[in-house]
Amino acid sequence: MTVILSGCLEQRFELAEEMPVSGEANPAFALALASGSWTVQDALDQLESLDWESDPVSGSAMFVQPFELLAAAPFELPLINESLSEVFQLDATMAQALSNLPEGEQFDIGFETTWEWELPSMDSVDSLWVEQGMLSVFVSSDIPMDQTIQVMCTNLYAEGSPIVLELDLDYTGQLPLQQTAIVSTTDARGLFGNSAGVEVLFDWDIVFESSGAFVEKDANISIEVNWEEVMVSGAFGKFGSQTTVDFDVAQPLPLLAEWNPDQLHFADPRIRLSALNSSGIPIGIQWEQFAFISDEETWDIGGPDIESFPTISAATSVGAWEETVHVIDNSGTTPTLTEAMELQPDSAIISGQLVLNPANENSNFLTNESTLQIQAALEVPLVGWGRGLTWKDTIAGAISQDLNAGINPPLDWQDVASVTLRFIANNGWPIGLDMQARFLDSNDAVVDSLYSVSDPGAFHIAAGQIDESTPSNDSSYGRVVQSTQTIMDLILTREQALELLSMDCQGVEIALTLATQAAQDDAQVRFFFEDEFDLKLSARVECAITLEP
Amino acid sequence: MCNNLGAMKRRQLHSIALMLCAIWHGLQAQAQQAHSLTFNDYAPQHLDLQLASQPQSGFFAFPGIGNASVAFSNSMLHPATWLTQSSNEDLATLNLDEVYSAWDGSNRLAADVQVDWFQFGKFFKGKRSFVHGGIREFAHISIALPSDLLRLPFTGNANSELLEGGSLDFSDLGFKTEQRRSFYLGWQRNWSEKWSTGIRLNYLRGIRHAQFSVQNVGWQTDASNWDWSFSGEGMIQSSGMWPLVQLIDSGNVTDAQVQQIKDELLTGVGNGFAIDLGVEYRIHPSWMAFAQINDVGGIQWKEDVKNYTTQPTSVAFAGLELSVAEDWAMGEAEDSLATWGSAIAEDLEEDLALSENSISYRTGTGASWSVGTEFIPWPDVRWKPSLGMMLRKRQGLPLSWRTSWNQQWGKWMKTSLTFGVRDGLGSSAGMSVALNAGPLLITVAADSHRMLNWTAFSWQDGATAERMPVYLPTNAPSIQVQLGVVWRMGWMSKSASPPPKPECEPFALPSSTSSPQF
Repeated sequence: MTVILSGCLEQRFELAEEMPVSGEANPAFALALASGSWTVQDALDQLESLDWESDPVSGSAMFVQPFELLAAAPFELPLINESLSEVFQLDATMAQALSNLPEGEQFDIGFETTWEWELPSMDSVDSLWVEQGMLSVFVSSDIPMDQTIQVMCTNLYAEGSPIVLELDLDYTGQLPLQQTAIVSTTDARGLFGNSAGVEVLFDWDIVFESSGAFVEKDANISIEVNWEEVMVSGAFGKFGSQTTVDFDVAQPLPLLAEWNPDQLHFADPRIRLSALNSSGIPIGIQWEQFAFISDEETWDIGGPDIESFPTISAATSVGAWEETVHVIDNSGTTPTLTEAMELQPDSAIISGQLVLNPANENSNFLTNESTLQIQAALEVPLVGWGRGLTWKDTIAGAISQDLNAGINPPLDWQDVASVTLRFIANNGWPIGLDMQARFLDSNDAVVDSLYSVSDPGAFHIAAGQIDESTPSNDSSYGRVVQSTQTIMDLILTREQALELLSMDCQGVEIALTLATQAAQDDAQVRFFFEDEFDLKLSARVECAITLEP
Repeated sequence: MCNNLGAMKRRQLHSIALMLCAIWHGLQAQAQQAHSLTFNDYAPQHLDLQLASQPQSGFFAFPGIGNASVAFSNSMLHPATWLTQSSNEDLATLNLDEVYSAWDGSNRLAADVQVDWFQFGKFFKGKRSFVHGGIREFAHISIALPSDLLRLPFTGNANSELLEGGSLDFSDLGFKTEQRRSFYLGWQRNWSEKWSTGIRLNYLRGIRHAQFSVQNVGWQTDASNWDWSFSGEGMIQSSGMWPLVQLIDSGNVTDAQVQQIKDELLTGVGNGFAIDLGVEYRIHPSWMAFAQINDVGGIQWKEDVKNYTTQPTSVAFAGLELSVAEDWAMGEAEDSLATWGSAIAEDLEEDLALSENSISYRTGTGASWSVGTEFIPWPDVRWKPSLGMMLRKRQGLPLSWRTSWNQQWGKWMKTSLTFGVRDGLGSSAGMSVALNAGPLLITVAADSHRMLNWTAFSWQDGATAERMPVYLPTNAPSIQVQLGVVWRMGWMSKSASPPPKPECEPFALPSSTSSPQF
């Protein structure tokens, strides 16, 4: 066998681990690492402490900071405590007639009286709703006869019927005769026919039955009527024009204090005031101050939007609400809200008084459930421009060691020609992004960066495409009409990697800088919730494996 | 104690023997004949390639040595072609470019072994008929690796210069092993001086079979975003392999499994039939042509069957979807990736719809067809030289061809010197020799002269002395060796073999033109 093999043996190779290798293998491995898609809505949802809504005017995304100015009854209904005293004195004729009345015979007389008083703040009263209260009648008589007295309140109703009180006075030889009648006026209603005040009408009916005793001239009957602790639950009529409720609100605006107007400009902020009135009284507002303040300064806001504040409409019926909305924006303020906000105030102060029925309208009403709610909201549609918005973070780590450990033996960085991170962005947001990575040493000093800013290969994601032909007053002005695709390759070459290895890099600082298109020219863009940003990250490793021993 | 050790030893030897047996029988066979025997009619093996042609003599084979054939195909590993070493260099140099180039195209390793346990052949009817038969064992094993898979370390999945379209094609990936036993009986008949035919029936007993194959398997990497997409389908079929797998896996099998392996070796786990047909036409006394088909048939594998199939599927991989990953944070990146990977694996499993069953299945025997011709320019010359040309095509392999210069050396030897290409594995010269050594007929044939060129590989280890060198053929994509020793019938006869008689012998026509008288 050996002989045969020796005869056939044409060559012999000596092999060893350190044998030389000619040529090289240049494999390249590529892998999609991750992808994501984020809408403006997704991004804003991450800011959990802030409220975002869709701008009802343009549909763009809008920051909203609501705050409440007032929630109270426009006016307190009065508590009624009124009394009435009447004395009926017999004249000679009447006394003689009663004296002549045979024993056991009856004599009937009747008459009407009115009881009037004024309610504060009401020029006229059509009707009242009474929630609680007691109506009492006390009678004292010097007439020596049995007497029956009926008092009917013809315009005070309880359960749909006029309120009636009856008193029986029996003569037993002792004078004066005294008696009291009391009736509850809970849930009573009073109808007063547009009188200047409250006017209660009484119908009196008195029946005398002769005891045969002589009736003295000047004998009298004393009557005392009391309506006490009457809680009014509704008043209908005309309320007088008068200043009533004061309000004074200070609303912190911490975001504005941190505002950098050189980096962020919002073109159309506004304050939306929404008044809900369930009373039947129109209400005006008399401002004392509408201003932004800081620790050092106060900036009063004027202009037609403040000075010509509309009257808050009255509710049309009990239980209904009437809403009055007033928007304060740049067009009606001096200085403009944008200018005021860019002064970096930390709060807004709003103070003044409510004025009831400023136009002297009739047919007002106020119940104990009537409320005036005035809510305000600072609305900042995401319309404007931004530039130089920078976010930085530092990732600490032994970068140099990690790079060494990243490729396991027998391969090393000598076998890697380059590592490419490919970013494919489809940006439907109207904002672009630049990224820079700076490598830090153990003292956090920058020892190198991934590239220079002017490098054509620098990381830059272009903003979405905006139709510049849209008129600036159009609600779509500044809106992205087409997403922009950007493909960027961040390439870490072998030389760069080896340089990093030699630097003892201990961290990397990532800086993201955002800017809208032509922000320096005051070009405005508009963010919509549905604007979408897609980013895909892939990696490719190009090897140059020499397999040198 | 000694008894226990002895029992353990016997059991280990038994296991080793079983394993060797399994490996041997794992070398499943397709019919592999040395093409150089096509025109050497002294050799009984000539009947395999020219069924309609008569051999020189009847024969009876010694069991196990009447016919043995070994074939190796290697279009994948030729390390000698990857190295260079000049005389003044201590070490060889590995040339990576040569490695890369070598793996272009088909990359297949295959081994075929064929042994006849029993063999006979006998003339009948005054040599107008020849009947032959025997029992033949086939074993075959092959593995095919796609070029793109082998060259992946050179190209990666994203070397756009080396990969056209960024696509990696793994469709050629496959593995096959098969063992079968053939009980065959053939009948050759000369119908006239011009026509003769042959037929051979094979009853096949399948012993073991396993096959792994994939279809349309590819790995596409998008050139712009480097997303991946995988597609394809796969299948594993096996019969009679399970006890062997357990044996190899655990090194131990139960007595019942040992018995099962023995039973399967004897009775098989499947059966089937195959047929060979041949026809020969003598255009001229010195010019012959033939056509033949071999191994038309198949085996139904019925027992100890395990099949695994997948559905055609396509899977895309585009990286982690950050916007849908719940609670994604760098701190929990590892957990998130694990969860995400599990989800992808579950999706892939669902898409592939891997199914397992034990349903019997059928495999073909690897049919082939061949045509050829032989021309005898000087038929009256004693050494009777002839020129032969043969084309042969096996299922799933490239066309083979071979030319042959044949020559008789008296009655005691015939040789064929050939040149051709086998199964697309490069050109090679070959030869066959059939030697009548008294009562014995010795046949030796080999198809590749390249097997004669060998290379020694010596590994030098700095810490130890140089090890024994390893010898490998330098560059022999195809090696085919066939041997046989048979007992030659009629070897004592001094007279020359009478020419084969046609079915209807010519008779003398009466010279008279008068009517015959009865």
